[in-house]
Amino acid sequence: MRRAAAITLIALLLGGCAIEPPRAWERDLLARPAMTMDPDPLERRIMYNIYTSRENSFGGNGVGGGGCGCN
Amino acid sequence: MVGEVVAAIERPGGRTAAACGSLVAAALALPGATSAQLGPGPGLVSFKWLDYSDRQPGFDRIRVQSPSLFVNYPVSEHWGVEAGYTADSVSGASPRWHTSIASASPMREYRHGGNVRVTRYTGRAAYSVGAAVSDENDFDSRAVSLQGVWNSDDNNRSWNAAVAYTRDRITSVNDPLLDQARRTVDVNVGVTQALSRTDIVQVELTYSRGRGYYSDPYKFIDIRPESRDQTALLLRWNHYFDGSDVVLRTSWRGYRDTFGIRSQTLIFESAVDVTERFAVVPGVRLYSQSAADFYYDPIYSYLGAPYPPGWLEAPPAYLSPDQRLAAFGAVSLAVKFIFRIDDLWTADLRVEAYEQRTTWRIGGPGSPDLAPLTATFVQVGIARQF
Amino acid sequence: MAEPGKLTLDSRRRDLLALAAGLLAVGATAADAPPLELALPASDGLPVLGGGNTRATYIDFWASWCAPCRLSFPWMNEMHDRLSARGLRIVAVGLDRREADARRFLERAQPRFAIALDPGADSARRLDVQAMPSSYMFSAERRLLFSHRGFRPEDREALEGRLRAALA
Repeated sequence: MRRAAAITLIALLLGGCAIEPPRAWERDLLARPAMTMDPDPLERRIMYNIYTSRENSFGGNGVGGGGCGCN
Repeated sequence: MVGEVVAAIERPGGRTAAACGSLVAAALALPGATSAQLGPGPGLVSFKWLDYSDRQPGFDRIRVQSPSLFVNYPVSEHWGVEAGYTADSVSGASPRWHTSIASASPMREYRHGGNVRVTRYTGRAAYSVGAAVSDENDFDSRAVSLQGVWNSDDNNRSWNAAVAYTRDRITSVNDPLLDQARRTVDVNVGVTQALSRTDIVQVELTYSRGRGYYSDPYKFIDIRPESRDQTALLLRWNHYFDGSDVVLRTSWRGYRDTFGIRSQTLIFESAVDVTERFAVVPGVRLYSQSAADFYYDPIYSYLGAPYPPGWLEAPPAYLSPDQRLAAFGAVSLAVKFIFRIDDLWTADLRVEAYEQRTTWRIGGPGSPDLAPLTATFVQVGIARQF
Repeated sequence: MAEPGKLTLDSRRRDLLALAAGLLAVGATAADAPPLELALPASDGLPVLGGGNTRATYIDFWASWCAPCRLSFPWMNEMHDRLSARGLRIVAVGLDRREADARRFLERAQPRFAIALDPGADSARRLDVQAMPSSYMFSAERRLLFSHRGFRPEDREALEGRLRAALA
């Protein structure tokens, strides 16, 4: 699975060279809230706390948010 | 700020290879913490109320009510402050081993935590300092963090890096002599890239190194290693279906740590603008994890529960019956409704149904003899821009 | 149609001294380049750049989805009120793909200066616009005097100063 992720990553980066990066005036869609990576940061933090208290995986949510004591 | 001289460069056949650098989230068009060019973004106060309950067959287990507040305060074009506060009130019982709640231990009943972040914006970069605090009656956490974000010249690519130091203090309501500590350093690097007018992707790598006390003081037998190193790789892709009002957000996270846990998380969310003021976001989340090396199944020795075979004769260095360290998969279905009441106010409602089953594990067998866990989350929110 | 002027590019230098040197270089090389022409018609009946227009022209590229553009319009209205008598012509070129979005933005912004709509963004391509908004100041002889990326409230004074200097 790790290898699959690495291949996807490389493909994305190489693929990026074939895809046209948008010019300044072509960012209308990217400007929409739904297209941002974190349209609702408070919700993301809340859901991350829930999932980490019921599962045992971490990361992918920035750093330094403080612990929840879910030993 | 002074203007710059601009050249009209001949571009045979379109973009040069150097333009493969890409751009993040319309940095100049959309203010916010991710947009180093613009600044702190609009003032915002956001409040959410979460109602969480989980249960296993036969009995309810845990119920949590949790209000949360988030404030973004743009001090000036160059400075911004963000602050958040959360309180949990928890009722219910936590199993003492596997899924048994015989002589169930009390859960931490009340938790509150706050965090604050100050960011300085300079042209194409943003630098932040943050602190977070979390307190419960048997657990305290203090964390500080530093973060930097850098945009490329054409705003098509954005780099971010962060480091944090966390110190936790673990005590126990049941054992007044327990007073342990744990220290963790987290490092995070990522890049976000606009591939085209309709696509933006992000890659983020997190590494965490922790030393200290990891055992669960409320479990009857629970001895865990005194260190935990964790690695997570996150890939995200947002795609806008041109000609429609639909955005598909996809995210995959791979995780591994020195406890022996390996997991994958896959999330699909589809944001649909039904009208100008109303959006619906259905989502699916798939999760699968392997068991920790020292997790033991509910197969007990002649001594009876919770003692595993060989516990008396050859006690292992580490072991835990905590169901959260077992091998299982989880599926959740969620839907969120967003109401843009007017230019300033937004309300939202999110409902999620979550289920964990050992038979749903991918890439190996699930841990045996554990009851499924189901949970429901309802989140109501209201926010106002300034 | 004239070819886009070839001008010196220096977008990495940050200190004022280097920038001043860059501007001088622009002045020098601009003299060699043919004057730019943009035939797209604006709301005042003239093409954006060229044709019967004989005044210094400040061209601003905007779009309805661009947040700083909302801040720049009131300022451009002010500049129009103060400096049009001194020979300044402001033309704001909208780059929205859909005219309805552009019209909605203009209804709120109420510009007193000239507007042009360029959904195909040809004029932006000709000037190699790198950021939204971007503005370009052309002399009466259609030479590029300076350009500016983005728009922040703190930029207003300095920009007004440069406009006045260009009109002098």
